[in-house]
Amino acid sequence: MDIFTLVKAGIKNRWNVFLGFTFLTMIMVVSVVTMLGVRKNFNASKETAYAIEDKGVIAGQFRYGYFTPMLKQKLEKNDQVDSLEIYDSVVGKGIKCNGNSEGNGYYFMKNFGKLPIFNEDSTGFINYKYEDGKYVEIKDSSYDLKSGEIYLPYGLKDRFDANVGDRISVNFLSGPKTFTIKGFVQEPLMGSNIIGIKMVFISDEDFDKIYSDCTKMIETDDDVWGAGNVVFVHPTGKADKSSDIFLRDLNLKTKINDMAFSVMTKDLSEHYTGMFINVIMAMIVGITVILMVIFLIVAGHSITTELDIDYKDLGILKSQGASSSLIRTVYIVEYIFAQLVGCLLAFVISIPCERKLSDVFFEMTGMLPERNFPVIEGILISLGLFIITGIYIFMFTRKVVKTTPVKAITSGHDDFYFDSRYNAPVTKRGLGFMMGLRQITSAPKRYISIVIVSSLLIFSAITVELMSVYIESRDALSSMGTPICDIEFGFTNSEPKCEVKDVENVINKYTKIKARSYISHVYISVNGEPILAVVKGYPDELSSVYKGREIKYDNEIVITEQVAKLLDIDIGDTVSIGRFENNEDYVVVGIFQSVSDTGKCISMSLDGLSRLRNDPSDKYTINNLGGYGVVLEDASCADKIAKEVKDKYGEDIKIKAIPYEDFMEQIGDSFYMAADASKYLIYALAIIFAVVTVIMVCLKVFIQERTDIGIMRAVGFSVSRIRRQFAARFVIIGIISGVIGAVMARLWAGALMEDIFSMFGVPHIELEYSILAFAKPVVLFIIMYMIFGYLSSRKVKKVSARELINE
Amino acid sequence: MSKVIISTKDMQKTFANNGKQIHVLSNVNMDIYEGDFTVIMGSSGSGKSTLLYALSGMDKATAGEVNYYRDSDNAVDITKLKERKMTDIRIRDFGFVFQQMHLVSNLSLLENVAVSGYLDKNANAKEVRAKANKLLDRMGLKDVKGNLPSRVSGGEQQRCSIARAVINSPKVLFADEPTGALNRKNTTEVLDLLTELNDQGQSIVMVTHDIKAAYRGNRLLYLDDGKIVGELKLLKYNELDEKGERVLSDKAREAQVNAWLESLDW
Repeated sequence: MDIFTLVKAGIKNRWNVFLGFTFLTMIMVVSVVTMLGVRKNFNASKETAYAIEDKGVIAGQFRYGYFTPMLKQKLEKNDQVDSLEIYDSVVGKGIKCNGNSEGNGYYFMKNFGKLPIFNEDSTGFINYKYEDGKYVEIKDSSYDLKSGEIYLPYGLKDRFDANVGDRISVNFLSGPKTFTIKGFVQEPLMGSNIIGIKMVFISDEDFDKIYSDCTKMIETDDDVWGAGNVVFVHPTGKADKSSDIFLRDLNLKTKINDMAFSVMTKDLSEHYTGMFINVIMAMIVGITVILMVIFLIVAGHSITTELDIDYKDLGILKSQGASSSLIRTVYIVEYIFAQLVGCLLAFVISIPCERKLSDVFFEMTGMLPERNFPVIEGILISLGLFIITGIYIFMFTRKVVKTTPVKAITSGHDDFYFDSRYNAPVTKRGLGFMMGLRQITSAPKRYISIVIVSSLLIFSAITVELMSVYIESRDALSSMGTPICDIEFGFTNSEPKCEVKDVENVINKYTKIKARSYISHVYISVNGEPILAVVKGYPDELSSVYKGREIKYDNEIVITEQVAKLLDIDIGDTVSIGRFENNEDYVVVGIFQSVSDTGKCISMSLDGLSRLRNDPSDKYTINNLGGYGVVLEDASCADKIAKEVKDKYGEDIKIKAIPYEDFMEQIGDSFYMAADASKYLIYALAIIFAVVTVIMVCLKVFIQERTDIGIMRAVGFSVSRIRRQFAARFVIIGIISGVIGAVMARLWAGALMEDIFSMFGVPHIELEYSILAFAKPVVLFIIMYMIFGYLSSRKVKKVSARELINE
Repeated sequence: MSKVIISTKDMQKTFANNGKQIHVLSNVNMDIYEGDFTVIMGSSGSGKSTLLYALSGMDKATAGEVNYYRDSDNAVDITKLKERKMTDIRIRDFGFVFQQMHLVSNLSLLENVAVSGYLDKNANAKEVRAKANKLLDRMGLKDVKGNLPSRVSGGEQQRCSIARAVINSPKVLFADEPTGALNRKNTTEVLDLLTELNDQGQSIVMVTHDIKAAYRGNRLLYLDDGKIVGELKLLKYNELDEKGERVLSDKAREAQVNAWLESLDW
């Protein structure tokens, strides 16, 4: 028997199913191939960028005089160090451009001369050309910087909304200066817009002048910091391949990390730069797994229904000598052919999708993405999909083997039949709904798959809703170590006219202080590992400790779960903390969480940090911290307080009232963007899948119940009444799925979100299970199912009582 | 003379098959009278079921008129009725019995009957249920009315489908070969039921090719090649003489019908 004739006939008969599978496959493959392409191209561009920059694997930023000759000597003698590159730098603060300002300080340096400069439309470089699979530098003196010009890393383009020719103002220790942006460079180590610190490049002439002025001031006053060195370390073959482990080893032998103000390793840089790609990749993988599960459920449902519909034909085929394996092969080939078409379409669609998404990430990474399509990966994924589907269909078509030609031709029923199932009553009141319910209870198997699919979709939708509620709640942000403050202030002058107490006095005139978040961030080493320390003025206020207790004494610290795992330490352990040339022991008293450095941080008190000074008795005071946030009893006073403080102390203090909404915008736009993107993505996919599954189920039901529909029309059911019945049964499915999805979300949404949020450094989440977060997706799905059920049943119009005529 | 309840005027029904037109009904002009048990006969493929579906509005005629006299003065051409109006007529005025019974498979016998009753907006649900029970009891289905159609015999299904057809007391009951799929015992049961309904004044239009079923009617029409070519009038099946006996025995009726059919070259 010609298999292709049967396959062709099958596709023709099941055209809608064929289209449905093609579409579902396409969505799945587009998602995976696009993300693989983005990831692959990002990795390739990253390697190219690091190779061009060629600045080793460790970049240490040192205050003036802290990169001592002894440290240099130790590093040069270390057998893991191949060479050092040492550059002078000046620190620029209060950077402003196009009305946007930057809180972090940047390292201003002379141009390395090798960094690729982006062309006007950011599609390539003006000083590099792509030849034989690699970038070759074009030497041209016009790329050199003149006085007053500046090259910025590409990651700042978006942050400042800046273009070539825009002006950028900077405060150096020696005074303010304004530059004109000459271009944007690809600087992979710190160039990503996710990394706070940056290296920016100015002309030799400008640099020499600013550096000379700053160092003169530093030499007369030890406490000020405005210049220093940036040191790049090139490893030898003996160094550990992980730059983080290399730094830890090097720090234990040379104290490079302890002496530095901050250190960036290649691993850390890659972690930050690729963070969003990895998070979104993880989410896409998660969604794809759900899609695959849904796909297989729909496939199983579709195949069993097809077999029911084709049962008589199967009997005829078998009676004519078609073997069971031939019939099963026909089904397998049909579905795989649908997938093949879906995969081919997906490849075509993935190309622009990958480019668009890579361009979005390009704004974040600051590295020009390569444009390669993951052909081999795409083919492997497709093959994997074919194999899984083939096996799956083979399993689901075992009914073909069991049946005999006579059994199939005559009835299609099994040898025995009994009716013990529950049957919902049919009443005049709500006849449509009750008939819908009866149709479900009388053939529940038909609806199991759609209920499972819908439950999964509703579970996903509720989870993203809960996530949305969580990340926008005040308590949640506090528990993530990012409390929402009504007022923030900071000193702009190293010797301001006022102190923290003075600001608090003004606040107390208007309202009470509810809580304070007075913090600084410093880099230290814990057991040799470079880690960020969040130094708190009042550790017990706005605490994010969820295990153990907050810091009470100066020899105590709290750590994140990530640090606990990294260093294999826990509550009660003693660790050695190093800063500059000093080391002290501290006891771990609690586990907290913070999004700072994506969770790779510890927290200590101000007194705790003072223990690491050369003279521990010379304690840091509350006035030495970097940033101050206050939560007010009455937030409506915030504007008045800010005005009074400003009027009273003028330029020495920066103070602003922050309305809740502004704060939400202020903290990590990217974070919310990713959260929103995932929410809309889940909803979009859920809607698409809901439409596809409803249409597919409707088609099957329609085929199976065609006679019943004809009978109903004959006895007086109107078309719209029958269609309302269809809608009613999908409403019932929506309600059942809603309940299951809600229960699933209540049980597992928290754990799932902890897994996702741990990537940002928040492994512990206490969700607020609001009724709205559950009701919104459930009601949306029920309405959606009702509408799609009603629309999909439009074919009822075509069924007339004539269907029942036997001439 | 009884009152006309349905009349057709130049009614045609044409099907398209592989680009060719097949005229199944050609200019049919006929009347159906109130209270009659009208039987339509004809050879296989003569178009008798098509005629029944066109008369009952289950299917639309291609051309011509099918006038239904809902009340004595006004006729409605059901070929021109919109879906909503036709649905209304199906609920209240016309009942239909199919050869293959066509009961909704996932409803019990009682529910199959009751659901049709529920469709009448003016009906009271309790009364409908009581009437459905009564009808099924009367049709000998008392013990099986809670069963699904798949669990009862063909005769029981057909009796149920008759009960369904009459639940809303239709003006006309249409039956398309109602005994076609039944054995002799069930055939007699169903025919007795239809006769009983007709005796109570129910207008019936039935298509059959079974002579034993045909002589239950009092007016027989013969359809050939899409046209009415013959008509036979009989006394009502249960018309009694002075002695209280049936005027025409089954044998006599059968002989009359046979003779008529022979004259039509059946």
